[in-house]
Amino acid sequence: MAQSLFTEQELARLRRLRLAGERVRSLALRGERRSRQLGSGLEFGAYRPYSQGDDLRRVDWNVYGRLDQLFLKLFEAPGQLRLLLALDAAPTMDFGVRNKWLAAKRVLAALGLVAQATADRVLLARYEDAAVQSFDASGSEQAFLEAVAAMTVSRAELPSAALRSALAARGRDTVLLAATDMQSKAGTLALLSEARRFGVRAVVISLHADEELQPQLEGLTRLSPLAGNPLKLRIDARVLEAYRKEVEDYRRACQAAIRATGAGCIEVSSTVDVEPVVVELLRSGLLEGAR
Amino acid sequence: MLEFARGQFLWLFALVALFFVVFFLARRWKRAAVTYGFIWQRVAGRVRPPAWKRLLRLLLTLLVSSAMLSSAALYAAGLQPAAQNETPPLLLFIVIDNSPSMRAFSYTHRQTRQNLAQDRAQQVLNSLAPEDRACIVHWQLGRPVAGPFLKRGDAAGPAPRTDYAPARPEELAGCLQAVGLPPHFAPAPAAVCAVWLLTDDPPALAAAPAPARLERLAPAARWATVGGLPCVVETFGEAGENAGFIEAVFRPSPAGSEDRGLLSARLRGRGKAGAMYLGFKRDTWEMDARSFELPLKVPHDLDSDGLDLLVRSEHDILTLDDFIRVPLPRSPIRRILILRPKGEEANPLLREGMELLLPGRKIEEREAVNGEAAESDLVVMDRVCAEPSARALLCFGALPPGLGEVEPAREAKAGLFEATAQRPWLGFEVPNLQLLAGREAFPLKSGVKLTPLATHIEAGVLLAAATGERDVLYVGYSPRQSNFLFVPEGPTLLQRWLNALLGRDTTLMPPLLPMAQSTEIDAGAFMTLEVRRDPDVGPGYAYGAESYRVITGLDGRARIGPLEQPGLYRLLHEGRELARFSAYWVDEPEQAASFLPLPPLDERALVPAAREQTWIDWFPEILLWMALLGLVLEWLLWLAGITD
Repeated sequence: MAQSLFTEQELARLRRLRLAGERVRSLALRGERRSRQLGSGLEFGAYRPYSQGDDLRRVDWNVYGRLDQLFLKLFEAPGQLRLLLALDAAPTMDFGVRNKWLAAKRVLAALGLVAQATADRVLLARYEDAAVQSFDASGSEQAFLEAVAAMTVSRAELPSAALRSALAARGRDTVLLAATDMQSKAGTLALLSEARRFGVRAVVISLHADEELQPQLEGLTRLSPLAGNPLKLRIDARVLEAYRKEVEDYRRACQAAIRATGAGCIEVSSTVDVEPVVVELLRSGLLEGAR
Repeated sequence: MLEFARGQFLWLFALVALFFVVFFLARRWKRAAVTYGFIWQRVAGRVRPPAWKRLLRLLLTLLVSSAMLSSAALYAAGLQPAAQNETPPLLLFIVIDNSPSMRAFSYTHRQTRQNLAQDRAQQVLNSLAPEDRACIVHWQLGRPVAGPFLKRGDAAGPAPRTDYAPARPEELAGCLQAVGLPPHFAPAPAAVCAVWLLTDDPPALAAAPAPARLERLAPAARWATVGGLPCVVETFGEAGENAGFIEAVFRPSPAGSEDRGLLSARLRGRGKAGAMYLGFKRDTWEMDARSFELPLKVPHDLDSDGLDLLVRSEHDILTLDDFIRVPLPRSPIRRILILRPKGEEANPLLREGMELLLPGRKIEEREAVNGEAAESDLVVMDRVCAEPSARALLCFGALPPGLGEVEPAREAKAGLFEATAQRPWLGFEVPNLQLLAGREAFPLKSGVKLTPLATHIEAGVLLAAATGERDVLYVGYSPRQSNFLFVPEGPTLLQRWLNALLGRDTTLMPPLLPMAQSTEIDAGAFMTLEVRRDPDVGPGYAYGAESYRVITGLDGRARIGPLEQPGLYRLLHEGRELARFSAYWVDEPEQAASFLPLPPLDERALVPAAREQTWIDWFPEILLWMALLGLVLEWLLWLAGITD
């Protein structure tokens, strides 16, 4: 199944990137990376009421003196990265001679593979999935790739509760990578709003097929949109020019909306190779954990 | 209702259907899967015209295209008014009367009735409907003869010749059946056949109803039937007087009379008749009576082929009967030439003998040498071998070259006897010549082209003769040194020979003969004769035989006539003219040249009312205009931005 996503040469190159990530991880001190998990670290994180069985050493006696209640003083655990890979499974993703859906899975799978070397956990889900698949660092590469490959296009929906919970669980230790074509932008923008709410750093990989931007159509054409009603249109240069302008405006508006949520965004063509995209993301530091 | 002249091109209409198929196949919407459906919807909403505009554009395109294709198909198929479904085609027999009376002259129109009728036939042809046909019929020897089928605009051709035989209208139906119908007349409805008779005097015909298509052509009372066909008559010319001969007879005088004969003639109409000799005006006569007799004192040396009988009349409308040439029987010997040897005095006995035997002839006498040319009707060669050109030769002791040679002179005592018993071809009986004798006798050498008549017991053949183109009598005695002119036997022989010569041409054929009659001749022996018309004499331009071959019975009798054309005829035997005679035309009803005026017919009524002659197929043009207007409208709509 993994071979359907990558060739052997591509896998070999991705593994080299992964080895580089592992070497970084083994040399790094524990707690070097900022963590969103509250635990036994040195930096204060938050308070919570005491419950039976809690370590009394963590009770903040000063607060007890002021409030006459027992609160545990929680510190951030040493930094670990969770990479949440979210796939927009709208029908429009299944389009293009170089299929956007396949391109999205290849990009996320590559990032997931690389992230397995540096992150504690890689989470994988489509927008509408009721459960988020989790893969830890020691997990099987093959299982992860098969899980990615097994994903299919379904329908465009808002992000599921499971995906929102995954954002909320360890918000600041999580990096959200959402692959979408932004043709049903409501789901993506909702997801990004959630990520911002929980302090999750998010990056949108905006995919497009070349024939979407430069359609090779002419004459009398019965257009059958993958989402929407069909329509008949005599296509000429004037129509194509109007279409291209509309698409450009729309994509520009989408990018603006994404940036308004504090998320990053990169435009990726379905024809582009995976490796340069991964390298660019790594260089941008998106895969580093929270400080 | 309309129909197509070239229905085989109707398949071109399939091009219209083919165009629609191709058009809609070409307009097939190509399917394309796209994303950004909402953007495409937005673009479509902005650039696509409303549905009614698109429908208008589509309809205009279809209208223009189908109009252009239909126009081409209609033009090729030749749309025209229905001919066969509503009105049957017309086969019109234009019967032109070419009887002699149609040669009557119209002083109003300055043409003959025949030419007027021919012009009318051309008018009728020009007025036919396109699918109708006409056939010009005239008469030859009384029978109808149909020409080729003609259509509108074809030439009627020259006027027919005169036919002297009475017409037989009852054969018209057979004529129609013989010529058949044009091929495109075969399918239903059956063609309407009618006769349009162009004449001067309508015959009595039974009434008949007008054909269905031609009621407008003539009132019902004008329609009759001829040969089983509906017929309408139209007359040409004008009434007028005609003076002419209705009888001419020549009765020759008995032999010995001072007159050659008596010519009597009868006239019709008011005119003066005249007669004059041909070639010279020694005698002319002019008579004002309806019937007259003309005693002819024709001299024997008359230098004329005969005389012409003429009728002069003011406003005479018919000239066919105004002229008769009377070939008077000419004497075969009018001039005599006597040749004598050079240096010898004239023999008065020979000259006096010829004056006694052939009185009234011009006699010339002169010296001559052998081989000298000599021209006359009768050449008497007295021991001179000349080159004579003569009707008859009387040779004394010499023969012209070509007939033979004679031996030198010798003495011949009495003792001549006949060579053969019977020679019927001579036309006379050879007398007993035993008393003939002479000191100079010239017997014939062998190989002479003469038939021996008498042979001397010592000197050989001394008398011989030949007939044919030239009659020759050879006498082997010298006129001076013999008793040939002194004893009765010699002049008797000459008299019989000359009588046979003179009587051969005069009694064979009367000089005048009505062409409708026949006469019996007696050629004397079985022979083949030829009767040949002189093309230069007579009215001419008529149908009929120009020459005949007559084979006599074993007794030499034969019947000549009736003849088919008037004129001067020659009776020939082996190229030699035996007689001349004139066949003159007598047909008093025709000579009356009667004329019945009838109101002229309107030839435009030949075209059915529903089918005007000038009908033009406007449909293809209208369709082309519609296509052009559609194109302009489409362009204007596009300019106005209403259509895309």
